[in-house]
Amino acid sequence: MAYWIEARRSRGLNRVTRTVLLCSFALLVSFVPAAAATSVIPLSDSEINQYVKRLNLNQNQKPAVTSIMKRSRTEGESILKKHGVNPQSGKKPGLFQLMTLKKEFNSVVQWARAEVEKVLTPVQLREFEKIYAEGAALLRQRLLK
Amino acid sequence: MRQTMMRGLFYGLSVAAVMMIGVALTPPAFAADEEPLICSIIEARECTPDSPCRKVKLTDIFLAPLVVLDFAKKIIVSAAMDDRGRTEKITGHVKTPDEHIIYGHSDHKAWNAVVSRKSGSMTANVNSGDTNHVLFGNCAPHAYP
Repeated sequence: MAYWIEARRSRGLNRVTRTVLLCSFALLVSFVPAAAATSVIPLSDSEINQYVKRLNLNQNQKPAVTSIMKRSRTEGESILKKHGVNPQSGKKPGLFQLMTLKKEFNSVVQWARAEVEKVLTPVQLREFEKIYAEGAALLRQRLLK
Repeated sequence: MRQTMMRGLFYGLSVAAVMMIGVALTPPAFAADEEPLICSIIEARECTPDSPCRKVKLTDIFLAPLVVLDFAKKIIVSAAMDDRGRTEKITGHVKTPDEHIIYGHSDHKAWNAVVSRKSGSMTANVNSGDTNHVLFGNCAPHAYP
């Protein structure tokens, strides 16, 4: 009998532990997309690392290109801020809010292009253009979702 | 005296009948006052003080090719497959016999649009101080308001 009560209690505890664990997991999972959505610009550290791999950069090129991309991210974020885009608010941008955004982004992209041209080979530059086009599509998708 | 009264009544009834037939024959397309319209934006041009107006892609100015003008809710809302639910408040709506004239403003922008109640053609301006976007399109009653 005592064994049975003990077994029930431990099973009950297990159930409580399981519930607490499940709740913690659910909470963690619900916070992950919020954390990922802090920046809509597709130049997070992990994304930059992917681009660096795709560009097949040597040891001299790597720090230069990484710093160009990081500066582009900072500039891009300040442009978004100027336009009142706040992905953390969970609100979609207004219908006409983003109309001049690309024009301002273009100046950053032109600067970045001019800078990477000094460092990359023609083959790498072609890959950079592909990365830029993919990034632009991803930015649009993140801004409008 | 009685004859004059009868003649007056006859004329009155005739005028009322003609008016009722007129109302009944009015095309249903733009008859309802607050009926929402769905508009396709066919072309966009960007005008700045430095250069002549030039055509721009709607994707480049983050503008949905389909928008709904909801006069009852006083909003314009994007209704494209990949850009849905972004809104802009309608501050003013003037309805003349021939046009819907709507206008509004948001942070750093003022806009206006004129929609023909007869042909459905639409022109709009979105002005951001240094850039003016001119939009052309066509509107029709929204089938699924």
